[in-house]
Amino acid sequence: MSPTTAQLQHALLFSPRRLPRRESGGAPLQRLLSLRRPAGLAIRAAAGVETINGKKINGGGGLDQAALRPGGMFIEGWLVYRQTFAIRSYEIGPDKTATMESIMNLLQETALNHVSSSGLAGDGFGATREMSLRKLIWVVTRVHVQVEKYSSWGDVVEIDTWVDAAGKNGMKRDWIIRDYSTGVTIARATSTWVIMNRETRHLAKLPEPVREEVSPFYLRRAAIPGGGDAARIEKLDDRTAQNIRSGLAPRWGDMDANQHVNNVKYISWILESVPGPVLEAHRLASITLEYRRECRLSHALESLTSVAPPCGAAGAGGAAGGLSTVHLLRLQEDKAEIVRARAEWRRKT
Amino acid sequence: MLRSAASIRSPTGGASPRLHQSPANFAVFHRRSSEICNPRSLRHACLAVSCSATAQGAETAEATLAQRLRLGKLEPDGLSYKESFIVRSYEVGVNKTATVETIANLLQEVGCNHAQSVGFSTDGFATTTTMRLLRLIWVTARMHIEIYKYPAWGDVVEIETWCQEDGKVGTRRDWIIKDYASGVVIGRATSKWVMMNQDTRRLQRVSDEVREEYLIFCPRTPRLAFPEEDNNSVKKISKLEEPAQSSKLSLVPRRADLDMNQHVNNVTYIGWVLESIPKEIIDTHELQTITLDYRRECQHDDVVDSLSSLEFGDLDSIRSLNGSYLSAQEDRCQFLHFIKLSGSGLEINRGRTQWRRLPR
Repeated sequence: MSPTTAQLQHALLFSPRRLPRRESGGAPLQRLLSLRRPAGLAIRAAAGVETINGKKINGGGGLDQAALRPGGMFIEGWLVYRQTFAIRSYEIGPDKTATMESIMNLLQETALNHVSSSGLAGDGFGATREMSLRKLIWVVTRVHVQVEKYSSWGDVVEIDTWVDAAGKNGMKRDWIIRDYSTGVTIARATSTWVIMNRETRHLAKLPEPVREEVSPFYLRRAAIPGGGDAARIEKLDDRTAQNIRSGLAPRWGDMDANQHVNNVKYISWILESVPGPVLEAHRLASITLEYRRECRLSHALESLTSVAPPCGAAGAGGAAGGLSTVHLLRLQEDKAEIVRARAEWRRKT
Repeated sequence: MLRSAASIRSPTGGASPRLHQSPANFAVFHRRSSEICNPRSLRHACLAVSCSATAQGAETAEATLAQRLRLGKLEPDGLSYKESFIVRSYEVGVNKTATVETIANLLQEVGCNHAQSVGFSTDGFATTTTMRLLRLIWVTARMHIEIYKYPAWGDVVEIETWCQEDGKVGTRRDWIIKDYASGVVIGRATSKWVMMNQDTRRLQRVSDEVREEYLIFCPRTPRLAFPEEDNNSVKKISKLEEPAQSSKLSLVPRRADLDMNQHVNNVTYIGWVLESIPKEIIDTHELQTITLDYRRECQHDDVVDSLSSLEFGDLDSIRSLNGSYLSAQEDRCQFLHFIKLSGSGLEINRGRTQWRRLPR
């Protein structure tokens, strides 16, 4: 029985993942397309409408409310998923702007809602139905985020996300974040994912049924022209690190529903060993994280940082006053590495 | 616990969500009951404060987009504020439901938005003009949160909040949390705040006129989230007897736990309390109630110990019943908590938690 307009509206409004599905077969995309989109939901048009002098003009109450409604929406024919968020007070850091951690949390949220709204969701967080049947989950291996302008409390941001293939067995996901009121792009991100068996915790090949599920959604488009920072990140050790902070422990509240440490949390541990003066005088312009190993609750961690000397114009420091840092997060006990990172900083004005 | 922040947005657009007033050193001051309390950095009650004589909300021309689009608004009588939030994926924990820290964060958010919607001081401190003249700031004394049903990812919760006077010195802020779709109350919370002089770091009583200034938006007839007699939110918390039955030692604040004045924010203390709960409880039970009394604050370089003991009985008696859940008592546990500085043993805060068994 096809869902009524009211049911669809209710589902999309309040529970993006509880989108009612048809029982009949067919690939997920076809299933999705066969649901008629109620006219009332197509309230917000895609980008480009209601823009005057580069600023988005917000209309009456109905349009505004739709912008902040809890779920997101598909644009460009189901290939791009868009969601808006208001920045909450507890997402703000000491310098009165959203933290990199908060931004990455919102990226994760958009990605998960994309998967669940596309009718693909299995029982896990972000796993498709065919994946859940095989006990598979997506695991991120690399993330690169660059922020041009940090939002403040009360700002509304609009995040677009889409996926593409990455090699034979991987997936790539890109995001663009815009300031909703001005339409200006304020951040871009890209990430690479592989498939893992959630019980054995081993990597797996991309099964054909899963490929069939996700490939209709592939969009060949790069959020970051040039693909972001793909260069090798060196591995720090006790000798090359300038700052080491030990005794960092995951707390119970850091675990996500997959029972390992939410990968966004690593940012806060990485920043633990950044020298205070660097943090006070600079803002993160971009960060690249390479995830090597999972982290489970009982492991105490060490955070290592090395600050690259600011070079001339040709150096990694780039713009005047900027600098680069390299990071390593490892288990305190056996020094096994968990995450490597590289960050570019620019001086606060 | 709520991160107390005055959510003020000045008309020029600068946000200062986390409030700070930081004493460089800890100064000790005495309450009237001669209980030792330590000042902390400014933890602000997100109070409805209006500097101007008019009773309108702050609808400045530069109101932010989020304010205009806000999913929350003042109730028709202007005495309370209601807002809806969807639970985001990263706010959900191992149980696949929102964590208590998420709930605490949302309580703060709605309190801040309430304060802002009725007009606020522009310096970011949630104070009235008179309070600033008298060099007064707000500090949190106690926080009490009860959760009956944890929302899951994608659920929408509606939180209503209001504040009112609490005795001669204090102010309270109450919250009611409902599941938006069903209207069922899934949680309640209350908090108590007092005024402190930021220079002397002493609690201060103020004249009624000063209080009137901020009480103007509070209901006059008492409206309590916990109206029942002798409820858990008012029970005294005694000091846990050492040695504690369970503990987590040498906890260290992360940079992300600090507010702008480099003091640990309130939600972090909840996380520390949970760290000392024995694994067999935290794996099989969910937190129903948490009460925290704030005594002293801590900073980035401090190291704390988090201690807990069953308030009545012994952990061994629970352990021995493992696998044979005969008595009804098994379904509920109550712990006393104590967080102190590792070195000096000075009390940071004390608390109580109640746990109920998760359905198997």
